Amino acid sequence: MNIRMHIRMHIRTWMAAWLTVAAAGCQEAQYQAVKLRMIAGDVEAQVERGAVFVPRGGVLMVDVVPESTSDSPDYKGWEMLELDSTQPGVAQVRPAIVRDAWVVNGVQVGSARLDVTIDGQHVDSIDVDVEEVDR
Amino acid sequence: MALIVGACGDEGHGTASNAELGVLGYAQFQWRCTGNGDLACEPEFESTLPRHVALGARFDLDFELAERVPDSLREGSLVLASPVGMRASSFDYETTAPGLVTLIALTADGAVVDFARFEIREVVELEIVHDCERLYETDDDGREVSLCGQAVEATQPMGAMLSVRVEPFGGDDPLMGDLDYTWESRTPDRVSVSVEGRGGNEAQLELLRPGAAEIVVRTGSVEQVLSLEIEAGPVDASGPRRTRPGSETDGDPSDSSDTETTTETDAGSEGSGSTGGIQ
Repeated sequence: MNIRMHIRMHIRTWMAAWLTVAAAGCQEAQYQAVKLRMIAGDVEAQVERGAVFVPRGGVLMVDVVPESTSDSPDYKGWEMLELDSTQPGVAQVRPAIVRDAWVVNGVQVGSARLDVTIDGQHVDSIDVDVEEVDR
Repeated sequence: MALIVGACGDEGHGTASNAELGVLGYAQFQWRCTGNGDLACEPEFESTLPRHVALGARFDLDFELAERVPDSLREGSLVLASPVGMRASSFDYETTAPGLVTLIALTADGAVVDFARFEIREVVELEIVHDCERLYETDDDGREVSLCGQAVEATQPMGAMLSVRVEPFGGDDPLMGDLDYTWESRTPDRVSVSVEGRGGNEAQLELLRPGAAEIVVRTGSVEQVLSLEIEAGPVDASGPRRTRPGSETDGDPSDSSDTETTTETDAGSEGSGSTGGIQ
């Protein structure tokens, strides 16, 4: 093996390694669900896995944490996370000024669903129940 | 249903300094009285944001963002979490059904900054108490005392002028918001009633002649009667006074036995005590 061939092989090995690393870095994240954590809201408001409860006229503020699949990069925070209510007449959802925090408010008694998308891809659905609360 | 912030200036008879941070601490909400029948603008109540609001009452609310919120978010608006229970117009809110109501402060692009919650309750009882312009005043001995919110003594001297006001209650809590009241003397030859403005919660009573006298105040279907015994002889008209906390002449708590109210609630012909709604 002459010196030229040795250098060429070395460059190929280095480029292959670099491309492998670059490909891993650019791998599109895959999310399987989102985890909700209650930040603030009415005492009657509740968060359970995959569902939230809000009293009519009340609010619930949640931190939304996407959970990626085991072979996928974690959520970084610069992705476009969005929540949309299927029934805005029952429950509305708005982003808060705090990052990845969302506020759900109960408009009318009934059920709705919050569709969670990240970079336009549907990731999860959260059931919302709005009920009248006697105080 | 959105309202532009700052749509209402100071009105009513109070100074309306009821400002308080919202639940998240990012915005300070400011209560505004829209008329002269709002208890929230009385000296004892104007230091906190009301939490219990009377059914059928009117008020205005706006907010300012806290210092730590970036300037780029400063423009904003208020929206109701639920249109049920409250009606919003361009200049005030009016409560329309009992229950929980939340007002959400938004930035110009619709992000939630903060929120404030209120509970709307029916008025089930009225109380007639001493009124005042300032919470504490100095008496002849230099003590800071207050008649504000104290019960009116049953026995009063002829010739006295009493400043009274009515307080609406729902459960154990006084209820805020502007309501329309009507005042009437059932014994106009013994006591005259004058009310400043229309539907106000304050009245001046002039005790004209000795004898039993009655004053009635109403809002919706709830009414309260203040029964007085007007005496011709000299009577200490000062009534029960509370001294400023920490004052060297703090009153003896046992003195509160003198504060027994002489008013009685007339719940109407049904005697249910329910308001039947104040619309």
